[in-house]
Formats: sequence, structure tokens, C-alpha cells
Amino acid sequence: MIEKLENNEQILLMYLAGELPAEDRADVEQMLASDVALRRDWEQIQSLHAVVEEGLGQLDETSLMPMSTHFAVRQVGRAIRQKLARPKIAPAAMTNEGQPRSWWWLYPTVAAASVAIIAMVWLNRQVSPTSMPAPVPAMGEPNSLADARNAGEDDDTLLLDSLSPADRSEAKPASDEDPKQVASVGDSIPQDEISQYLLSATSPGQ
Amino acid sequence: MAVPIADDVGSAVVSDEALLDRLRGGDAAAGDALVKRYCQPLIRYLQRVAGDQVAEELHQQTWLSVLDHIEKFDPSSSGGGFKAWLFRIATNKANDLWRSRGREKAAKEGLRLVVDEEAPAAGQRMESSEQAEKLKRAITQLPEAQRQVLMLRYYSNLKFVEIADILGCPLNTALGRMHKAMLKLKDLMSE
Repeated sequence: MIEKLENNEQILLMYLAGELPAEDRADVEQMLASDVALRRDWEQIQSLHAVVEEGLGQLDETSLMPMSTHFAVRQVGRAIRQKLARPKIAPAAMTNEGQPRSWWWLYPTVAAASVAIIAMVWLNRQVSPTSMPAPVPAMGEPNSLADARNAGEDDDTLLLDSLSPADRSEAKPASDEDPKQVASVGDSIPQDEISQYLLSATSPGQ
Repeated sequence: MAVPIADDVGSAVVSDEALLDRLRGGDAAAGDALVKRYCQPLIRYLQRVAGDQVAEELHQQTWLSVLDHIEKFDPSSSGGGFKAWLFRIATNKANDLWRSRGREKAAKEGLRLVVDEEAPAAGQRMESSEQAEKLKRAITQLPEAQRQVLMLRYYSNLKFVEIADILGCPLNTALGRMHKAMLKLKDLMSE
């Protein structure tokens, strides 16, 4: 280590501090024994050191500290307790680099849930078409035979014309049908057939 | 000046690293013990380097910085252990104050500081020793770099290698500053 030091004063300071390695210390002691100038420097260093040490010791004894030890310990102790009382960030929320954890799984999950909901709604509409409300008929148009009967129209033609073809065929009386039954559906019998029946019933040949 | 290593007379000596581990674990009392152990030399060091007015504030800032970085401190990697780390932080805080004030303004502050030292504040006890008063004035007149080396050596009792590491300078430079500081102090005190 001595070879790294620049001058005798530095070597002697290290020797005085007891910080030289053993072999370097032995070298210095050997030099001190043989070198008068070095010995003079050594005495000067020792004297300097003693004056400074004594002076600073005296200064510390006579000068007040800016604050007492008790106050300082209490002041810092309060700060320590405040800091320790603060909740620490949970380690699970932080990555090794100290960056917050990214919610990478959230977006695909939301997207999948949205698609599933849309699919369910679409399927629901496809599966139950009868659940759709029946179209509201236009005014004056009966949508069934019963409605035609209850229409209260005196004009049979109008009634018959308003019926659907299926209902009209149902309204025509069959030849072997019960006359009462035929009579009960008299409103739905075509007018020309009624007329023909009446004519045949009142002919002179009978 | 020897740094006390026992908290109480007759009590077992607990190492700085052991107290630090306990403080990391949330033991505030371990923090109190550390503060108490280094309070006097640390405050004295800051008092001599930065002045009476800011020593208290710098002392608190130093310990708050210790708390902030306690998790990162590794005693095995830091030469000088916790003590060197503590005084390194304190020195940095003092340097930050110096830089924030600005060199020109700090020079004026230094002169004002000398004046303040010469005229003791009300309520403060008069320096009983004329020699001590002279030394106090002489210390304030030292260049900052020399003052730091001298005060670090005296109050922390750290090795010169560790002091050089704290100040960020070669060992030769730290030793040279120490020698010059001692010579200048002697000259100023003999005036």
C-alpha cells in the first residue's frame, strides 16, 4: 500500500491511524529508526494530531448541541413510527421490476362474454317464432268465421266476400247435411243458391 | 472520539446490522436504539460541516433517507458497514444543501456563519474556552473538502479508505486534505 501513497505525510498519517498492512508497518518502523528527517515529520504529524484532537474535544465539551440527544431520538423516532405505520404495497400486486401488474386477461374475457350474450339473444329469437305477436288485422276485416258471424252485416254477399276461401267452403251447405244445420249457417249460403231453392219450392208443378 | 457501541451500561452489545434487521421487520425500538447510538457524533459532524442552524434538519433528513433506502442497504457490499453508510448519507445531505444554496450565496453564508459564531445567540451559553472559540472559527474558515475529511475522521472514526469512498476521491486525495486541514487549523489557532 505504501507505494500508492504520494509522500511521507500520507504514509505517516496511515501509520498513525493504524491502517497500514503489517508488512508496510514494519517497513515504516524500520525507516523511522534510520531516517532523521522522517522522524521529524512523524513528530510533527503526532503533534498536529494531538492539537486537533484536544481542541475538538474541548470544543464539544463547551459548545451546545443544536438539540439534545433525547429530543433528537424522539423526533426521529416519531418519523420512524409514522413511516412504519404506513401500509406497504402488497407484493402480489407488483412485478419484479416494480411495475403494476397488467390486467391482460380482462379484455378477452369481456369480449367472449359479449359474444356469448349476443349469440344467446339471436338463438332465442330463432327458436321461438310463435312467440312473436300475431299481426293486428285491418279494420273491417274479420280474420275468422266466428268474426264473420258476429259481424252483424245484413248483406250476406258482403259477409261471404269478406271470408277467406277456406271459410267460404266451410260456409257452403252439403246436400246431405241436416237442414237445421244448413239453416243455422244460412247467412253463409250463397245468395244465388238461396234464390234457386226458393224458386224450386214455389213452382206450380208441385 | 470513540463511537459508543453499547446502548446501555452493562447491556449486551447489539450490532448495527442486527438492529437494522429488526428495524426492517418493523421494530421501531430498534430504530430508536440506532438513532441514540449515532445521534451525538452525527449531529456534531453536521454541526461542524454545515452549521448549527441546519444541523437538526439535516440530522432528521439523514435518518428519513436511511428509512427510505433501508431495504436496499447491503452491509456485505458496503465497506465500513452501517456507520459508513449513515455518514455517507449525512455528507450527501450536507452537499445537497450546499449545492441548493449555490456557491456564491454559500460563500456569503459562510461569512455570515462566522459572524454568527462570533456573536452567540441569545439563550446560548458563552464559550468558556477562548481556545475552543478560536478553533470553532478556524473550522468554519477551512475549505469545505478539507473540513469534511477532518470532521469525518474525528467524529465517525472511519478508516481513511472508507472516508475516501464516501467523498468519492482517491485515498491520496483524502490523506492530503487531512494533512492540509490539520496544518491550517494549527496556523489559525496560533494567530
